[in-house]
Amino acid sequence: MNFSVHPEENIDKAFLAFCIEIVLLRMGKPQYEKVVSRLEKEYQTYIPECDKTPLALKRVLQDIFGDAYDDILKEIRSEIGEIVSKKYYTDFLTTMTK
Amino acid sequence: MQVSQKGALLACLGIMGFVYFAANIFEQENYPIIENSVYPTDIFFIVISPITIIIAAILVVRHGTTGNHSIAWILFLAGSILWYAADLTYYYNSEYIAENNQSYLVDYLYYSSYFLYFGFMVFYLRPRKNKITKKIIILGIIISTSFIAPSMYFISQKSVDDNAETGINLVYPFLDSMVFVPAFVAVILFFRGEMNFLWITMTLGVVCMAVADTVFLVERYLEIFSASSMANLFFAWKWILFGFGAYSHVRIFGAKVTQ
Repeated sequence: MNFSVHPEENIDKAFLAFCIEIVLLRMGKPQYEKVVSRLEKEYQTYIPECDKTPLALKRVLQDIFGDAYDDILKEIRSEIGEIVSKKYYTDFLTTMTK
Repeated sequence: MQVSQKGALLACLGIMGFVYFAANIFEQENYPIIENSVYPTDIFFIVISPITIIIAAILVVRHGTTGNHSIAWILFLAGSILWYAADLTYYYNSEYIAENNQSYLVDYLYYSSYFLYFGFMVFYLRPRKNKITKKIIILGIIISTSFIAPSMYFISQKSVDDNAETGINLVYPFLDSMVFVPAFVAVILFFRGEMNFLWITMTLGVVCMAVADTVFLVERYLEIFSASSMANLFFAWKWILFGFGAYSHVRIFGAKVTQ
């Protein structure tokens, strides 16, 4: 995992990963593990790196959950909460919505 | 040669259809395994259908106690065990004989299974509840009323002698309708994803249950129900569809991540 030299960016990165993980774990541990494993196998990336590779996460979620992807994204958005308007999160969510 | 899930499912459904066709041609009622109780096609319900229970148990172990899906699979396992227990009790009570033994334990077990299956679907859909619109639910309810209509029409056209038994059998189409709605919602929600196969098989399984219950109601009323009945074929298909659906889930989410 690559951490930035800017502490605030590291906090955002960790918080975003936490939000994605909590949404997946709310469905079940196997669902979370499946996403982690597909990201690793097919895109050689991890959930905490998804701010840099959002399209990989998008494809994996769409492949597994189909049309429920929109709702998963919505749940991630609501999990982020009030700070969702921050550029770091809007950039990520905009790419995931495209 | 690798056989796809869909191919294997179709083959199993086809084989089961052929078995029932052969059972009718050769009149299996003349070759009981246990007099007035167990006939050759019933071996499926006693020996093969527990495979679905085993697959459900694997999913319960795999999901543990984290998340909504873990509760969902526990309910599915409980529903399948109760259904199997009802099947065994049915044979034990020798229900194939024309006389009613006045015990409704079997029906209560089946009823409980429907509620557990309903619970399974509700808990599975719970994390995605925000995406479920009234429109989808209403559409599901409209389609599900078609399960009730044939039974109600049949009963309204006949004079019913045994109100208790007909009443008991008439509950099933309503339970089928109840279970169909969340299954239908799930097919739409998970459309295009890998999980879609599970929900297509579950929905078709519920449709098979509805057809089987309606045929059973009519045949019991006309006193022509037998082990080779179409109702039993549809019940067998329901087990196969549920089994394949659960197995597809094992294939998607079965492997643990190696760190």
